[in-house]
Amino acid sequence: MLEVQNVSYTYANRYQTNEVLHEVSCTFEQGQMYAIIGPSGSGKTTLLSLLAGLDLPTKGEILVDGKLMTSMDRDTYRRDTASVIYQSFNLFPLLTAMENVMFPLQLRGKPMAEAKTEAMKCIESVNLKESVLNQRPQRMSGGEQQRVAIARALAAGGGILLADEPTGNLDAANGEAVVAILKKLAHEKDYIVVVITHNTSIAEQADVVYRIVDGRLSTGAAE
Amino acid sequence: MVVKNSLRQMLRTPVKTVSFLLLITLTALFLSVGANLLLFTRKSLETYEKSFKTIGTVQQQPKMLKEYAMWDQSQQTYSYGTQSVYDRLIPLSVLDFADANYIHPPEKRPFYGAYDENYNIGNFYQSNDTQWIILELSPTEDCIPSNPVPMKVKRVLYGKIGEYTKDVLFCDPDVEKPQPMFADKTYILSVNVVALSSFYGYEDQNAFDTVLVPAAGVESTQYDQTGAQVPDLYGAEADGWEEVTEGYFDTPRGQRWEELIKSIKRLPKTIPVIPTNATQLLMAFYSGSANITEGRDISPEEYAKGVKVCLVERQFAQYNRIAPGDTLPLPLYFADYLHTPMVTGNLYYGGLLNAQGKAYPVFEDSAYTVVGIYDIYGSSYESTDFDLVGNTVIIPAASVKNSDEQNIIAWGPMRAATTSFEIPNGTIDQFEEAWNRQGIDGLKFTFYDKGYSRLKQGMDRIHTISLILLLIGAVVMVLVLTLFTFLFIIKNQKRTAIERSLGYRKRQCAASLLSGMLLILVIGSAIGACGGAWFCNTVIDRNMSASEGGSFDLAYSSWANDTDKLAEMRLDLNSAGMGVLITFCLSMATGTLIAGVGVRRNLKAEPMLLLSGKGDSE
Repeated sequence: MLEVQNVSYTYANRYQTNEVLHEVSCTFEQGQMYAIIGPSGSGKTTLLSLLAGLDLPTKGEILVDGKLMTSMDRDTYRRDTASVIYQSFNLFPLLTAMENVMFPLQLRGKPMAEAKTEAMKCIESVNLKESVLNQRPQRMSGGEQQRVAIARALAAGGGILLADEPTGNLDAANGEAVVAILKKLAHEKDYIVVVITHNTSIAEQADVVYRIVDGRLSTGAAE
Repeated sequence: MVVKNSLRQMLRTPVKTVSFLLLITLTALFLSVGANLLLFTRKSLETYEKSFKTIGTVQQQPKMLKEYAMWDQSQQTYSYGTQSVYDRLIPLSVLDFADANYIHPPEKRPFYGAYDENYNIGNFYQSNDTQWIILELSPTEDCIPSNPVPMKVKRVLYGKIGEYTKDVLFCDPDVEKPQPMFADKTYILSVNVVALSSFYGYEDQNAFDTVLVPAAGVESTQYDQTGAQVPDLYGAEADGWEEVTEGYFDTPRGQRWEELIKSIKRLPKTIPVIPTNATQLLMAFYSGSANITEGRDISPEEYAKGVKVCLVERQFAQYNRIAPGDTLPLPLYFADYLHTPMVTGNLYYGGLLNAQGKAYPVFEDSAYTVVGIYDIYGSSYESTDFDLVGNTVIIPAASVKNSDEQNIIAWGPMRAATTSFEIPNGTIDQFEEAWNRQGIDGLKFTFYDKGYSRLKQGMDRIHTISLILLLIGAVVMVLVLTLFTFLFIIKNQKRTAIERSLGYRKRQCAASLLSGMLLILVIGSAIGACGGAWFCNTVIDRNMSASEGGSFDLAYSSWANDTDKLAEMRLDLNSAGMGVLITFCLSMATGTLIAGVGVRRNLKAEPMLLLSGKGDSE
């Protein structure tokens, strides 16, 4: 379970201070798909960044299964627990689809053969065609790339999947397919799936929807 | 895994990778050539500095050449010659001027005569007593000895004229009208024996084949330390002979002959002793015509402190069974500030008596420890004045504690053979400029640096080229590294962000970014550095071989004749490891620094901001 308790995040530079999140509190539980919606600049991505352990809140706490994130090794947390997928896929452009999926497995120290077997399972679970396995991302379609990204997230294991506009660069069919995979992960594989989206149809498919406006969070149905 | 993935990704951009390898190899090659040349020139210059010395000699130029007449008995006319005339003797002290940066200040060396009854000087004066005779003669009839005239030998005081010879020919060929000599009188005189054949028209006087001619007599040529001749108390005889009368030998003049004989008898046991402040100031040692072959040189400390140590000529050492460590007594009794020792001895010029008409007394009597034995080879310079003669002993000038002012038999201007100094290599022009500012005319300086200036000039040019190569190499390397840091690292900012989001630690991200680039840098730098060293080595080696091949006359280049020095230079060159190491380290340090800046920049970027943006990751 992920708990966000009174989290604020202030971005400051030499010229200005900007509070991006203001005392945000929410909970993310296993087996649920969450959607976070809100206008651009409302703090959605910042919240996701905090949930992914890429940054720490200025105020408040985030707890992962009851443990304070500040007391955790956040690199290990990202490696073993939370994975992120993005609108722009963010695959390693010089590695093949298979190598991209194997990457987190190898990072965890899996031997090559074992990593390959596990990667294949992940790839199969996202319905990726075998023909693209040895291709580099630039030769794949957007849908294929996002599937590879999801497969890579699955390979990382953990149980938390954070998605930042995962269908933003996909056509409707591929978008639907990706959402279906995410829902399946939440409901069948007991993942916490947090999806940031502008897309109301995706938000409607979420179990819980959070809305962020000007850095303040509220619970509610998608518009 | 981190490195493997990094390399895998790098190898999938082969054009970029190969370009980087080629460019970095080329720049490392430039750097290596520059660095190796720089090291070579520095080492060579150090070697040159050690093996080269710049010696200056000083010669006072005569104010004019004056013609003098000399009676030629054979032609019965005057012949004419020229002699140098000096308006004043320029003192050594003028060379002590501001900006004169001496290593060894100028010294005007005398040579001392050391006499010891136990000296064995070989056959140097073997015929002395048959060539130089002091005797009493009486003409067979009244005569003017402008031509060979017969005389009766009354008594031989010194020398050998033949056991049964009572009749001789005598002539004073250097004077047009000699003083008359009378048959009833006895004259004492100092004579040399010359062949009768040199007297035209007298060859048929078959009873004789030699003629006695006047030699140096009892006149004094003593000088003081200002170069002024000390007045002879009793004046010189008119024509080199004097009438012997009753009680003559009890008079001061008569006693002079006995003193003269005493002095002449010392000659076969007299050796030249040269006091100096550094062995290399003696041109014979500088040129290599004299060389220490046993024992060691006198050390700078011994010279400075005036320790009583000496260098002995090989033949003298052999005749006297002297080896390094032995002691040699050196009773010094005269000082000649004009001449250099000659094989036959300078005392033939005269000057055997002081102004009181006495044989010169010993002014310094010390025992010296022999530290080295030297050999004399053929002359290398145009003037034999520079060469040493047999039996010569070298001592530190400061070891002579007593003044020689009462024992100076000859004094003259500064001469190249007797006046020299040492200045730092490469400062001849500065010295001459500083001297010219003194505004003193009349001295001629000649410098000997064995080609140092020319070699230094060449080395300086190579040094400049090497610096330019180094600079160009460094600048190009910085540019290449900056470009490829941009391509391999900064442009991969998103990759770093992905790695971070997947759980890479920052150091793993750094390793991922750096490993591939640094590996190429290692390979390129190593190839370039070794290639540059090889190229540099080959070029210089060929040039050195060409020099040895006889294209140039290196007779005066001591380094060229010194195989140890050459080997030293070669060794450094061949082991150009230092140049390779410098280049390699410089490349790696620059690469790591620049790439490090790029990595730091990447790691500073906020991963989420990069990853949530639109567009592909590269």
